[in-house]
Amino acid sequence: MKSYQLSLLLLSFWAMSSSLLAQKIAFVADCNASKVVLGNAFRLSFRLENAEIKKIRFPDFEAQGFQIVEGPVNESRYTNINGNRYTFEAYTFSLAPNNEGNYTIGPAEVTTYGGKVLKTMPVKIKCVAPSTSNVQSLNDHNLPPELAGKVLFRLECEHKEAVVGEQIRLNYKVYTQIDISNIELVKEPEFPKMYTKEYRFFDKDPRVEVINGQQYATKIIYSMGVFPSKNGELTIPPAEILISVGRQDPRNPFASRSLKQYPLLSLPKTIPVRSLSGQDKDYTGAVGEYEMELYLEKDEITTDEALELVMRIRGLGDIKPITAPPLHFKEGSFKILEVEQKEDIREGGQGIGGEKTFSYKIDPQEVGNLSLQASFVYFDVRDRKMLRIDSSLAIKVTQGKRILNQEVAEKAVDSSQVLSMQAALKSASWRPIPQPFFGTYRFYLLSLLPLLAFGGGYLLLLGQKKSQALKEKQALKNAPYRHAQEQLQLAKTALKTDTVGDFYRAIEEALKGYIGLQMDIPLAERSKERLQALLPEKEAQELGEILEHCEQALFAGQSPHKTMEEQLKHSQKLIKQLEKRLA
Amino acid sequence: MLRLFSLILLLAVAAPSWAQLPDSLAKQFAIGYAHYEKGDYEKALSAYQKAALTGYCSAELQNNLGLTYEKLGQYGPAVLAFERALFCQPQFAAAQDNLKAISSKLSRPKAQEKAGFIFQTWDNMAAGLGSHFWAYSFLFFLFLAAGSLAYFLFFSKKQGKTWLLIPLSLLLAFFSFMLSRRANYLQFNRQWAVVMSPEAAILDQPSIQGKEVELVGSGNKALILEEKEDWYYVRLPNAVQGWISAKLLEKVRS
Repeated sequence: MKSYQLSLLLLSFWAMSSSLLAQKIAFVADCNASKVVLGNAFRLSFRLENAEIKKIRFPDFEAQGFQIVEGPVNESRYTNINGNRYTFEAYTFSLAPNNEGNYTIGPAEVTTYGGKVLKTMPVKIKCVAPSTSNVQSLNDHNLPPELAGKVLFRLECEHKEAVVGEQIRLNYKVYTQIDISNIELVKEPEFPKMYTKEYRFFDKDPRVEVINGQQYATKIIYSMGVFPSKNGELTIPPAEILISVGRQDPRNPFASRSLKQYPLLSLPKTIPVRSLSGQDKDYTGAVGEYEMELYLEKDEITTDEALELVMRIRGLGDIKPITAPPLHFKEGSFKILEVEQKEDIREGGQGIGGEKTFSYKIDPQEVGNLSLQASFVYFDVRDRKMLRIDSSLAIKVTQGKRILNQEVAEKAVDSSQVLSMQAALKSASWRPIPQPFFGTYRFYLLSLLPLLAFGGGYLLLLGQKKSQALKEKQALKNAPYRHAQEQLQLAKTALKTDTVGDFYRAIEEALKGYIGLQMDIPLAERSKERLQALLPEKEAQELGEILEHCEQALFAGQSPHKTMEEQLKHSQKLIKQLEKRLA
Repeated sequence: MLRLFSLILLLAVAAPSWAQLPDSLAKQFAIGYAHYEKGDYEKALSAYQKAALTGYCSAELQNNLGLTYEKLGQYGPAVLAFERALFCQPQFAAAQDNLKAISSKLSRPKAQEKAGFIFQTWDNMAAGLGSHFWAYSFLFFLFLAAGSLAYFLFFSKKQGKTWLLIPLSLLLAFFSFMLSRRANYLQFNRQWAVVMSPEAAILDQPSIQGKEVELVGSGNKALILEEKEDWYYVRLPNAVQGWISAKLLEKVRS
């Protein structure tokens, strides 16, 4: 979009606010007609804005073929809103051409107190001959015959075709050659399931227009915008107004005029509407006159930061359905995290428009010098074709704390660090899920086992030793008896061999040895008397008898065989008695 | 008598399960392998998932599952499967290699925390041979020490240097005990989890309003230190600690 076009757009867009508050000095000529009928007047104003007139020179109307019907009428105004000063001073003429033809009214010239000399643009006007034929109207059947063709109600729409989403302006205009006391809109056109907007800002000044040689005063009484939502045919239904016209009673010319109301309908109109979908993959539903701006918060970021890109779309048209335009970048270099949108809808002299802002939060996925392209595609209503606005941005991404997947993979490739995966295994085995062994009761039980075994072994050995000692003690305890038995055995042998001496010595030793060992008496002290003294009376007596017998046999030689056997039995019996008693 | 005692002891310690595993597991595994070889990874994945059995684990199955996920570009589940294979069988070489290979493709925070050489060697020894190995080593050396002491006290004539076996066995038993304790902690007491989401934020508090302290990608491991409702307090390999939504992680030991 060219800059001057944009300026004009913006100027009209903020018509009521920004233009009023502007302090630019201007001198303009404003004519309320471009064509007039001979014999009728039109109005021409010269207006100086934001300056004071020191000297003004008007064109020579009479010399140019006009009759000054009225004027100049002077009007001036001064406003000061929040420090913004606005002044204007105007001179208005009512002029009537003297003849038919085309006229060019020369410029007026003004000299301001600031020393500036300004001229208006020339004004062209055509004067045509009056026509006697009435203007045919299809919708004035409600009017009385005398008013037919004198009041018209028409829809003014420039569109012969439209696209989906386009702003179609509908101006409802009244044309009149008579005085109308009041005009009331009783029925607005309705467009179900379609976005419509009633305009507040439109040219409300009456103008002069000529139709079929008939001059009318015209005025737009209602203006609206409609935005078709689907392709097909858009039918604009009629609007209805009530006009109030004063009528004079023909029978009483002195009576006051009475008001009478007449309904008037506009004619319906059909406009073909076509769809724009599928014409461009980047098209996101914008129809109108737009410009796009991109703002990048920072063009150098680290991998820890997100990129904040703001796209601002501004212009005339319905901005509501516009979705976020796509961003183009090398695959894998960026990732769009989120898109926020804000809209500011405004109304101006040319309809609705506004500003839509898309804030993209973009995550870098690569390190290096990257580029990003934003593309905005819209249907331009003046050129009647798709237009594309592309804008490229260069972004430098440096390494931050965060390691990017892409970077890691590339580094790994560069340094041949990517290891290959192993082949899949053909067979499998299943096992119980591993459970801890350390710290379980089995572990502690097994840990205690050596200690228990050691203790058990120790006790076993201790028992064995004790048993051995016991045995030895027992053996020691049985020694006298065993000794006695051995001696008695010798005696038995001696008895068989009839060796008397050995027999009695063995008997004597068996008894003395047994008692001596049993009572721990030294060998030298084992006399018959000593031993007898240690024994009970009965055993002492028997011992004495046997020992005496032994002494007799050994020393006196008396040894009958039968007596030896008796001696042996007697000795055995005595030893057993002593054993019972002493052990 | 001693043999019988040994047998009973072995049975008590080993406590194996003689439960018969269904044949369908091996069949599903074979189907999965066939699909994988044909390049039909979605079907392979489905078959492998059917070959899993509650209460049992298979390092081979988890390894193949990991490979299939890797082929499907799902690195988070792939890492999880390899980790589970190594939990099932800590010395499983295929899973170790695959884990190393897939790690090189992942975005990981730079590791800033590195244990000292001695601690690292100690941990490697403990985890390398596993908790069970060191536990049985401890028992062996304990038995040896007790036997040597008994021999020395009761059977030998207390001559020579046979007594040296006793302190040596006790020393080895002590080291085995400590290694077993460490290995048990590393293998069973620590709960590891793997990030499954493409990007997961570590926050300074268990709330989505928390401030981001680290951003990790899928496949990263995190040690769970604390659990609080739907949040885990985790420690990353680079020593960064913070809260993460439980929905973004999957525990290795489920």
